[in-house]
Amino acid sequence: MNNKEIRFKKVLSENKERIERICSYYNPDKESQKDIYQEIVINIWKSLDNFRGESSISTWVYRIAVNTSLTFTGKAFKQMKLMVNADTLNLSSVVDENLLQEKIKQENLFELLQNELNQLSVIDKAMISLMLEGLTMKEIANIIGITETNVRVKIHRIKEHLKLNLGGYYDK
Amino acid sequence: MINNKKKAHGQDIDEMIHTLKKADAENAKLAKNMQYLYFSLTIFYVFYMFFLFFRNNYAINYLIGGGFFLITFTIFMLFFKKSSAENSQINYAMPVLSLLKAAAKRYKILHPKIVWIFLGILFTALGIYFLSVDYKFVTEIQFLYWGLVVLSLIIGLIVYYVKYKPIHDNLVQMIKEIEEGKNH
Repeated sequence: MNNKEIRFKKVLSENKERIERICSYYNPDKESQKDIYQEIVINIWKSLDNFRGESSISTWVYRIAVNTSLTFTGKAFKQMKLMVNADTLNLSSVVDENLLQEKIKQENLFELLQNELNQLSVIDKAMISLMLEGLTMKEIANIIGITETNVRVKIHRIKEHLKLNLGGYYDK
Repeated sequence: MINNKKKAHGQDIDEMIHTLKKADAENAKLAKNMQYLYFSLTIFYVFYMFFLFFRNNYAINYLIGGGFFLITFTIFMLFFKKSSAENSQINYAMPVLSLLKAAAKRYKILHPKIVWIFLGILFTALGIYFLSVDYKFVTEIQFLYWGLVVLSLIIGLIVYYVKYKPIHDNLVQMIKEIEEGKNH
């Protein structure tokens, strides 16, 4: 077994769950998730020779996963959904925790959160998916290719938007 | 690749590696075969030209026509070699913004490298002209050729507008969105 194969095996075994989660955010359909997963794995294989260790391996894997997911859907970019559920890790980083707990208690209102997330643009969805993974602003900036400050501003805007919309509904 | 991709589903890592390596080898073989094909055609034309040149009753127009075809083959050979190298070297590990910009550039309709295609079309027309100049229907042949070129361009444009332009527009929109307030 050559060096590339050993590295590939290591990357895959250490990041399998990460990749699967990213796939599940972007597609509700199990078969499509498997297709995206395969595509990500292929792209990891193709890009492995270029990995120079400038970022952590997990950031590198996230980059490939997000890039592949964004380009996988082709013309269907705009229809791309961000799928979350009550068990999604770090969901409280996106919406206020108290509000979230209340929402989760009322399943039909949880759907509203899902809908609100899917009103976001594709790029906002990508950033939220990385937040849900618990990545820092710096890591998200590194993946998207913009400054950390810019990421903060964008995330703040998204959170404000969600707070406003979810809060407004909740007050009713 | 799609078949290999489907096959890879459900396999363990070792089998997956085997599938990926096989796909790499197949792609490399395909690229090499294409190069061999163009190289063989180029060699064939070089010999053909020499044959015409040394033939007792050769006509200079055949030699010039063959020369234009040779240039066309060379242009297309280099064009496809460069395109396939670019496509196989897409780096998905680059930052999202850079990847989207590179993809948007690839999906642009007026890509600078399209000039090479037009040069190829022009040289083919010249090649056809010099080879058919001795015949009665030179103008008709040229009309037919350019008609086919125009028809191909129309089909190409339809395919572009239906298949690729929406992708390009979405890429541009995403780039714009990421870059909004980039200087914060």
